[in-house]
Amino acid sequence: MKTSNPEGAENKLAVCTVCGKINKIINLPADKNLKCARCSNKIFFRKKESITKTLAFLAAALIFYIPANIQPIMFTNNFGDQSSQTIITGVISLLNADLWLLAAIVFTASVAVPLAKILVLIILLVSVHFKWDYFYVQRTKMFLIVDIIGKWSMLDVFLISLMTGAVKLGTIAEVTPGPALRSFTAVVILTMAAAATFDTRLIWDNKNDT
Amino acid sequence: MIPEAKIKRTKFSVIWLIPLIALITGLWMMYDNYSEKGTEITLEFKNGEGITENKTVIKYAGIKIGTVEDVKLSSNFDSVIVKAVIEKEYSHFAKEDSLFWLVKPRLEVGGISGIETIFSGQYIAVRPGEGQKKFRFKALENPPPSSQTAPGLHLVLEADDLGNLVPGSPVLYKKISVGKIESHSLSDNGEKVLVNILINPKYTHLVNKETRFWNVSGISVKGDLSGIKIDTGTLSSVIDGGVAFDTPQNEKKPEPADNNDKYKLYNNKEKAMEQGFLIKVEFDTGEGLVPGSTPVKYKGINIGKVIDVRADKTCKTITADILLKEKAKNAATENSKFWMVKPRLDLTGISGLRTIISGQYIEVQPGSGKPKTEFKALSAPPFSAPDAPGLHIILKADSADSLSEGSPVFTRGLEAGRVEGFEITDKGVNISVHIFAKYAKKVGTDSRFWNNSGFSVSGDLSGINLDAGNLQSIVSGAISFDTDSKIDKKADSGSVFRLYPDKEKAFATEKKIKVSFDNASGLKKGITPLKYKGIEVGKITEIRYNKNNDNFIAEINIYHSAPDLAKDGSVFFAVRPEINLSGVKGLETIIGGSYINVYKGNGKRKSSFKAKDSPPPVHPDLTGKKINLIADTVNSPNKGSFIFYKGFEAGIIQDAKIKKDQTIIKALIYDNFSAFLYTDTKFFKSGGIDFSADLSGVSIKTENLESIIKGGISFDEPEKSSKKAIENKTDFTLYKNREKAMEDGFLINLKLKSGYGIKENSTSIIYKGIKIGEIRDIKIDEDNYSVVAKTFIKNPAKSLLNENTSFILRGPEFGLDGIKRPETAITGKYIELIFSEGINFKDTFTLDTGKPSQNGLDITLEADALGSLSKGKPIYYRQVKVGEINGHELNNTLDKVLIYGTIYSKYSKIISKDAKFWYTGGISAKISLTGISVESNTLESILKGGIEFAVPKDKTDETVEKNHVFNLYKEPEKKWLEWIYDE
Repeated sequence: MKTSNPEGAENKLAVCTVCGKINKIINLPADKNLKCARCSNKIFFRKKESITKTLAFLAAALIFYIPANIQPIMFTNNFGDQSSQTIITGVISLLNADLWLLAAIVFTASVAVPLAKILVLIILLVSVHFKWDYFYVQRTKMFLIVDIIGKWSMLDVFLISLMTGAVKLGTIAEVTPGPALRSFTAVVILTMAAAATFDTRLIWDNKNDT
Repeated sequence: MIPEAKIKRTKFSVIWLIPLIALITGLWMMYDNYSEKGTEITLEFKNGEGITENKTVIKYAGIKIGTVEDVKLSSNFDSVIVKAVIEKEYSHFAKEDSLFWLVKPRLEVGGISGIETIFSGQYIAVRPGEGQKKFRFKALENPPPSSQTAPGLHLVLEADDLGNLVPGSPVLYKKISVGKIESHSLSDNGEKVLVNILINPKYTHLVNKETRFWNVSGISVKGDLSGIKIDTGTLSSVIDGGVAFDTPQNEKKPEPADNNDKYKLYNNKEKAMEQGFLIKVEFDTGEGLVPGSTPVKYKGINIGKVIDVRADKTCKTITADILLKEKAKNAATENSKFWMVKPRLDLTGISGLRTIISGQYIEVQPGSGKPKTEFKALSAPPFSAPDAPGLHIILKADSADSLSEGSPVFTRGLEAGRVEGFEITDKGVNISVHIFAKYAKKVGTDSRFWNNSGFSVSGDLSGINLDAGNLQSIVSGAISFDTDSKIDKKADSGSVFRLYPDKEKAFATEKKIKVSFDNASGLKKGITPLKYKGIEVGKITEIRYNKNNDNFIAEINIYHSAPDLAKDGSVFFAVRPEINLSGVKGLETIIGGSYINVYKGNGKRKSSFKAKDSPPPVHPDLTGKKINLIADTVNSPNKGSFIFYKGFEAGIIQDAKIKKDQTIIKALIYDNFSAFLYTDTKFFKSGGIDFSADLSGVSIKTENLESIIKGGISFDEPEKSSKKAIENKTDFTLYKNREKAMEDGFLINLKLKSGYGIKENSTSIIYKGIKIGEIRDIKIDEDNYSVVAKTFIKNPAKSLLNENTSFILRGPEFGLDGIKRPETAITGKYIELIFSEGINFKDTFTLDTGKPSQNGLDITLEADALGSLSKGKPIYYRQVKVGEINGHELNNTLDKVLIYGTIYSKYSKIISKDAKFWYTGGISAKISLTGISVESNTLESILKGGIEFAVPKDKTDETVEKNHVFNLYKEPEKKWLEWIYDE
């Protein structure tokens, strides 16, 4: 995919993504890695093949998202009463137990957020690919939100791990993690990777402003 | 020329591997999930209770093989459709023949099953079956019975009837449930019931081809004299019935059982475990024969049982089929004898008592010979066979005399044999006797046999002897035997012995003697014994009146075991009870009958004697030391009385003579006691009953019984005896009693004013409460008409007697301050010895009746008036009487009264010149503003009045002169009271 014209490319200026220093890039070869004059970190106009990578990660995340929700994420054994829960059923049972807040939290962290991340990234990719000329600010904000909240989707994994470790009361109560946990973790990591490889500056590349 | 950049072909980015991997993973997971899914089956239950979606599991052998996913009512609402998924690896469970049921707590025959489900939750159990795949099943209401394919050993038992066996009833081995009854059916011909049992795989090795099974349902009770046995299987078998098994001991190792082997089911353990062989025994009567019950015993041990009883064709005899145990094979031989043991009660004895309760039984006497299986029973127990071990001898007797067949033969009280039979001959009776092998060696050629029936009584003062064999011998007669000396030669079978009518005769020897008596009273033929030193050594066999000499000739048989008494010098005399003035003799004969006593002589053998009328004075054969006892009283023990030393018979009185005012007794102290005669040995009369009583108690002293009646003399040495042997001394004083004999003291003279209240040999001399002597003899001194008492003082008190010692007669004293010595009113007055230091020994004293000598300090008091003072009134110091007033008189100038008093010597040290005296006593009342105070001293002084004094603390050392005059004040000054009360 061709990257759109980076803005600074005309003026031969690039911003270091690490320390923020503006570097001049005039007569340097384009295929070699360049480093920042101040902090010596890699410096580039735009992330290499950002869209491709992001798309790939997203696709993988999507694939894993299915089993993460279908498979049980947790087995409980309560006095011999064995039951398995998927994420959704877990939320539902929390709702049934009148634990609204908890249900809301789990829902948000385990269902809404990963989904939102994927969706947002897809939209962004589409927007960049089709060179949308609108919603620049909104799109940027959207990405920001995704990025920040992204970490929090590991919450569910923590929850399960903690419960597994804490609730080991033999026959009385026992919690065992289910297969969905693997898938879910994969989803989280992949969406984080996707967000990381997406260069937000691409959103603005299309904008014509002086 | 600048080259043109080429267009870079977009490579396929590596990044796309990630989604690719993800895709593959996802697909694989899906596939896996799908393939793991397992088989879905549908179960139809009547009742869905206990079945929960996603929870209830399907288990086989405790392992979860599936889960219930859905529970719904059927469309017509009459059953519950349960959808369950069986895990993939167990999908073969879903076959046509598979059975499913819900496991919940159930009460069934073998107990409560399914209890574990209370905790773990109910589950669906499955029994896999064969057949094609099937996915829809109808669940069973109850767990299915074990089928043929259940693991374990399946066996078939054949029984006459089912009894109370139920499917589920346990199969027990040593009371452990090792299997259960599965089902039952009738055999093809309908005659037997076939019971299918299953032995758990764990226990199948317990069953082999020789195993016997029996029905243990219910409770079996068996009782006999040895006890009652209640036998049950386990509790569940009591209720439900059950089957037990065991393998009888076998020499060879039996083969293990196979599936579907058939066994007979016996009714009880005994029948099952029986092994043995059959014999037939013919009886005259069927009485006592109970099929299945009557045992066959040998020496008390069960060796078989009567199985069946039949009358034979002619109905004359009864045949019993008997099953004998394997080990009793030897009992069934040619010469074995069988007979019925019934309780027997007759004079020959009581036997077979057990059978009254336990029922009759058959006894067998095994014999030798070839094995035999058909026998004819005897009607009565047999005699010991001639070849029975032991001794077979013949006894010749005049008559059978209460003996009978079976009468026992004893030796020293042990049953050693038995009378077998009798044969009457011209001369008498021949008795055949069998001596048991154990005792055969006790029979020697010298042994004597006698008829020991009944019992014999003998008695004398030492006791009554009842001699009897055991009860049987009393009732049925018995024979005893014994051998006198060591057995030289053992007797053989066939030996002939004589049966004597009694023991004595049996051991009688040719020792027959003749003794002639003038007086035959008390002598009885066959009864009166001859005694030597108290032991019976012979008996009078015959008494005849001798016309010639007008006396009686007694023929006496001296026992074999007696010493040789028929010697010259032996003295025979009859001992009869004798009561005369000289005493009582021969008392034992009152009870035991008269007897003849003999003293052995040492001369030649003699066989004819003349009895003496009365016992010789002393055993001529006794040796010892001859002594003389001098007594001065009239009552002396008489001839023949014994002399005792510490309770043992140590000598005998041989003679007594009166000489002047003494009696001289000649006595003989036996040799073995003469060593105890010391120089200070004292002889005293003992015997009779010594009775002394005083307020301290009553004591009765006696010697032994004989001496009470016969009287006797004892001797003993004083405690601190020198134990010097007497050399030639032969004369001893005979004291009246032990006390007098052992007295250790001397005599003093005590002059009395009068003899009142003083008793000879009674009034005691007391010093500090201990009796130290006694008034012995009171005489009037002719010279000066005074009464002198010879007083005995014990030696230890010797040192008390000096010139200052005084004796005071003490009796009860009545005074205001109490009664002194009230006991003396009853016991009599006593004389008190008051001791004072002195130098010279004195042995003559005068008895003082008054108060102790008024040694003390004389003081004179001056008062205005006498007041209530009088002679005898007390003088107090600190309210203790320390002196008294002796008298009073007016002084020379007649203006004062002089009061004379004495302070007892003991207290005279208290007085000093500055002592102050005042009246006390009476009641002094002071009335003052502070109130009325009443003061008094002791009661005595209240009534008697008295004088009190006080002495200042720092009194002067000046001694008080004899005639020092003190002032007698009316009342004490405070200061003086302070001397007393303020210290």
